[in-house]
Amino acid sequence: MSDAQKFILRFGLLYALLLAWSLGFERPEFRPWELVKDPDTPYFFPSRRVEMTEIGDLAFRSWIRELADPRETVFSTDRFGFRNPEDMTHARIVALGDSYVAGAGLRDDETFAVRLGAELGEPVYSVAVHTANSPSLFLSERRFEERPPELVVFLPSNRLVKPLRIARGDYRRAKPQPVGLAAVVPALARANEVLARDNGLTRSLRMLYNGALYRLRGYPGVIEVEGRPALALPLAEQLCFLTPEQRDMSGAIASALELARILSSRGTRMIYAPIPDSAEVYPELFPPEELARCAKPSLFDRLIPEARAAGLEVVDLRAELRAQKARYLYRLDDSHWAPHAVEIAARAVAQAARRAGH
Amino acid sequence: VPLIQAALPVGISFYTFQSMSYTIDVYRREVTPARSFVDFATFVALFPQLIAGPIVRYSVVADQLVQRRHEPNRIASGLAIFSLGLAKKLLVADTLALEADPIFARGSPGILDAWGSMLLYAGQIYFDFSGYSDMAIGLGRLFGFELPVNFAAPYRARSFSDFWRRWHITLSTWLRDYLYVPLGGNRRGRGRTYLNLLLTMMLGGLWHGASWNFLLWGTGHGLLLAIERALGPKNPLLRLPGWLQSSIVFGLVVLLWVPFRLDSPAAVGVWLSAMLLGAGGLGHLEPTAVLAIALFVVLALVPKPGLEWRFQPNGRGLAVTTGLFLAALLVGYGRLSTSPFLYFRF
Repeated sequence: MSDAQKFILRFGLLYALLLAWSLGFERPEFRPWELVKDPDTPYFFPSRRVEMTEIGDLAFRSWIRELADPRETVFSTDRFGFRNPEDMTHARIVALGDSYVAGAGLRDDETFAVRLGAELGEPVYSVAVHTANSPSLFLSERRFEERPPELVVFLPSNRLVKPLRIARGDYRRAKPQPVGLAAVVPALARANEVLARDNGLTRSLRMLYNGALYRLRGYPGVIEVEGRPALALPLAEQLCFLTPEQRDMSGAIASALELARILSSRGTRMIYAPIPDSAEVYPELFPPEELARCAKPSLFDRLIPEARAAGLEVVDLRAELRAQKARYLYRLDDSHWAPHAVEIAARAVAQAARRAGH
Repeated sequence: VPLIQAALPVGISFYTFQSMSYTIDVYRREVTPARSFVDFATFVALFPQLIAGPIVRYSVVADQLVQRRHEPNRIASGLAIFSLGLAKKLLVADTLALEADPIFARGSPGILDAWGSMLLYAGQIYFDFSGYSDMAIGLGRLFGFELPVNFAAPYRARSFSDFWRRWHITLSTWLRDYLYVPLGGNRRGRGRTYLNLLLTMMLGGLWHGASWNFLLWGTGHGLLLAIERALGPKNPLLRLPGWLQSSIVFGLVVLLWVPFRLDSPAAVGVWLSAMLLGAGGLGHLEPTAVLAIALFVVLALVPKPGLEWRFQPNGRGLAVTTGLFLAALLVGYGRLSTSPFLYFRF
């Protein structure tokens, strides 16, 4: 065997070994959310229960050990793939929304639906999912049409305040999975991807590298909260630099109105309570030169009054959160809100709900 | 009237040029037309170099399309060159970008960060692009193709014509053969020669993208080439020591990268005035950025050109190749600040 042949053989062997080794690694899962969300449908996997120590999404992205704020979480889903107790199928009150309402980074007993239920003294059913589709999913389920809830609370988070296509559809059909030989190529491709992107070794290397970099010159997006460094979602990702027009706020209000109209025809009342990101509540924590590039008026400056003027029943969560902001309301290593912020929101929404007798 | 936002197919600039060169060469009777459409399609869509070059002439691969040699030596060296390219892109170019991007994002630079960011960008674009070219050449060898070399230590160039013989060689020869020469080249008097140089480089700039900043970049290079041509042996640069000639050429190339990197006229103005007039004060540069610049200078300027082609499939060759390959995979791809799979909206 020539030198070159030996070379190719050894290189190939090394690559095959690496590939085989990486088959054992899955995508790094840093929070139950990633394990539970079904990548092929808008739902979570039904009837699951995941317990783990998780770190926030921003900690995961930075891979700086000092900035992670690990938390014990439990995440369970019902048989429909929503985050509710497993045997629950229905309630007089339904919560629609995205990751904030479904409770990314929160325990089962800390989610918005549970906290609102506690405030109102009756169970609340969550139809919040990992996409912006929540209203359409709600409308596509026959059980909600046959026994319409009395109240729907819709809480889109800041980044998902956008025009929605409110439509009924067949969302439950998952993509067919390849079987047999056809499944081999995707599996190898996935192993190759894991090999190239992430595994235990790269994670430790990355932690070392990013940790050293952080100590040397800091990390963008680190803010100081109550005397300790915390990670905030960068302003660009909070869509802070876009004007309400650029974000088509009017379209977002129009689709919320459309949803309210459909619900009203079923005898259901709707409360609209968009959830602000941290820059709307804590602008002072961000670098002033960056903050100066944020759109003025901000989305929430206009969204709340204009949604009200359009005839929606609105709860101004930004005002509620601002009024009780002394204790930081977002997770220290995650883009989502903290458990006590959920309680504030639940209290405010409950108050509005009670006004009509709930 | 709303602008049409058409999605351009990947690699369009490369396969357009390749198809053009085929058509022109066939018209000029410099090559015989492909006998099979599959061969022609393979030439146009040859995947190793489809996305980012090198630009391959039909005449270079015409024979290879019909008959290729698959020899262990060539496959082994293909693996080595591919690994080197991967390491150039992931270890060096991306590391330099990590330092440069925050400076560009911050804006309002002083003289230090303006020059620092542009030096980093000069390194990033060279290692990125030459890394891609090496990967294409390496992949080509695995399939029995010999693709042309695209870079030869361009930042060591001692003049601008020398720079363009070393930088994106397949583009500059394409521009020479299909634009400069048909325009008349240097055969129609001095004035026309300068104009042709300028026009060729302006169009070469536009090839990178239809916007004013690429036009400015191309015009700058065209002007410098024309001036160099006009000065001829009277060029005062020629009287300087070699390292100083290279440094001056490099400095001007770096200045011309400003419109290439920054797409708003305002930002270009800010950067150039900070670099040339010190308009933004002294500014500051992070220690890690200084380290990255040092890394670039050592890697780009010190080794002699052609280092990567001296590969031998022995133990040392294997160690270097696998070392580069693994380091690129583990550190480069693993750097999660660019995590592409993290679905971050939720």
